[in-house]
This record gives sequence, C-alpha cells and structure tokens, in this order.
Amino acid sequence: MALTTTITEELTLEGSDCGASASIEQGDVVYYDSKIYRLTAGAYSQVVLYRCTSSGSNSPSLGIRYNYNKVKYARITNLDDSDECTISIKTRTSSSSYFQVIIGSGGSFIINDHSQFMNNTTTPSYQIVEEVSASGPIGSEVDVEVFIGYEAA
Amino acid sequence: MADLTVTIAETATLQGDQSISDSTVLTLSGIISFYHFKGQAQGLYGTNNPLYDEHSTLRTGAGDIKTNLAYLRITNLESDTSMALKIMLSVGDDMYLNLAKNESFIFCPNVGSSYQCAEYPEDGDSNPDIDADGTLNQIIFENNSFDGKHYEVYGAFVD
Repeated sequence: MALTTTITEELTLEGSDCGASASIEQGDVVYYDSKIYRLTAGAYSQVVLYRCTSSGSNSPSLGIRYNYNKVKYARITNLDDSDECTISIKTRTSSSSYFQVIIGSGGSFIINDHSQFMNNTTTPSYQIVEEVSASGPIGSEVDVEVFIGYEAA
Repeated sequence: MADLTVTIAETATLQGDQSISDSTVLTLSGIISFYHFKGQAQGLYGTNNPLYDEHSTLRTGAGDIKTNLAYLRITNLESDTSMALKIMLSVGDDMYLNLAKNESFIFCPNVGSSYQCAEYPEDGDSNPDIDADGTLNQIIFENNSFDGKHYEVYGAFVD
C-alpha cells in the first residue's frame, strides 16, 4: 500500500526536451478522499479541518475533519477555467496566523507534512496545520478539488 | 515560444488492494526559457545567493536577466530530512515553507498566483484580514543548517 505522487513538467524549446519530473512515495497511506467543492464568492469556507490536541471540535463548513498527524498528502486544485481562488492555511500557534496563497486557474497547492508546516511569523517555527480554507474572488464562485491521502487511525 | 504542461498525478494501491489514480494538468503558454538544476546547498541562505530571484533566471551572479516567472518547482531531494525555505515578498511579512522529505513546492505566478500574509484577526472574525498581495522577490533557505542538503529547482519563464 502506497501513494505515489509525480509532478511532471513537459516542455520543448527549439527542438530540445526541457522537461523534468519529481516523484514522492508514501508507503503508509492507506486511504484517500477526493472531493470537489464549490467555494463561495468572496468568503472563506473550510475545506479541510484537522483534529488537533486542543481544538478542532467543530465540523468544517465544506469538508470533513482529519487527524493532522495521519494526513500525509493534501492537494487543493483550482478547477475554474478563469477565476483565481485564495487558499488560507491556519496553523496552531499561540498567536495564530495564516499562510495564504492565491491559486490561478488550474493551479494547485500541496501539503505533505502537516505537523511541520511553517507560518509567516518573524521567528518561524514548525507548526501543526489546523485548517485549510478557500475562497473564490468577489463575485465569482470557484470549484476546487481536494485530494487527501492518509494513514489508518 | 512553447507550452509548458505540468501534470500532478497521484497513483496508489490502498487498503483492500483498491487502486486509484487522479491527476491535474496545467498548461502554461508563451514559455521562452527555463532552468533546471540539482544542487547541494552551500551558503544559500543569504539574499545574495537565492534559489530564485525575480531579477535573474540564473541562480547566482547572472547580471540582471529580467524575465517573468511562469512556473517554479523546488524539490527537497533528501529522503530523510526536511528543509525550510524563506519566501521573500514585495510587501508584507516573509513567508516560510517547510519541505518534508522529497516534498516539492510549486508556484505559478503567471496564472495569477501570489502570496498574501494575514495575521489572525484580533476581532475574532472567522475570516483572516488580508494584507496587500505580495509578489515573489526571492526564495532562499531559511538558515545555514541546510548546507549540504540536496535540492532541485525547475523554473520556466515568459517574455
């Protein structure tokens, strides 16, 4: 049992093959979830919520809840053909902060190790991922795919 | 000019021997140049030695070849240790990203991606207060503890 993820770049410039690839295998992944959500325009929805040691009792607004230390791979892909979406990753810190990235049409963001994410504080440290939220731009709903690979409980 | 096709594919044999596969494909047009190298970190934590710099398609000492980044992948080639990157933005706080063993970071500013910083709102609002969008200036290793670690960088650029 294993999950293999491969990122492949295909590019030909002036007749030369300029492609490359990277691959990662995670032998402890035994389950997966693949879901598509429609994000609200201009407002965040929780697409993944992780169960942490002292928080996370609520259900996410769109997704389901996972044990952060069991999830080994999470990909969020913007499926819209024109609009961007914003992904916001909240880590569990004493002064919580968000790691945010705008994902254009077709783009993806990947998280592997959910116990050693980093935030945007001036003194970075390894943090537990607590929740992943996403939002469409103002005036546009956006579909995203969430692919999760995780260990047995 | 050419198209860059980026495929992220997941294949798995899971509990009960069920097999699954999923993938997503991104095509970026107008690519005029690229770089690809695998290296060993040595002194790459200073701003004079970035893994990526907005003013150069080359890693170090390359003058000022100004092109526009369309796609960037940085991969941790180490199989047993993580490495931390410092993502320096044009505005707001720097961002930090930890790459677990063999993990990749991908970024596609040409399709509208940018980073934002947001502090947890003091008013208890469930939505983060977003700072201004920050474009990507530089990516460096967080500190010198990653010297000797192996990494890979693939970047593609438009005119």
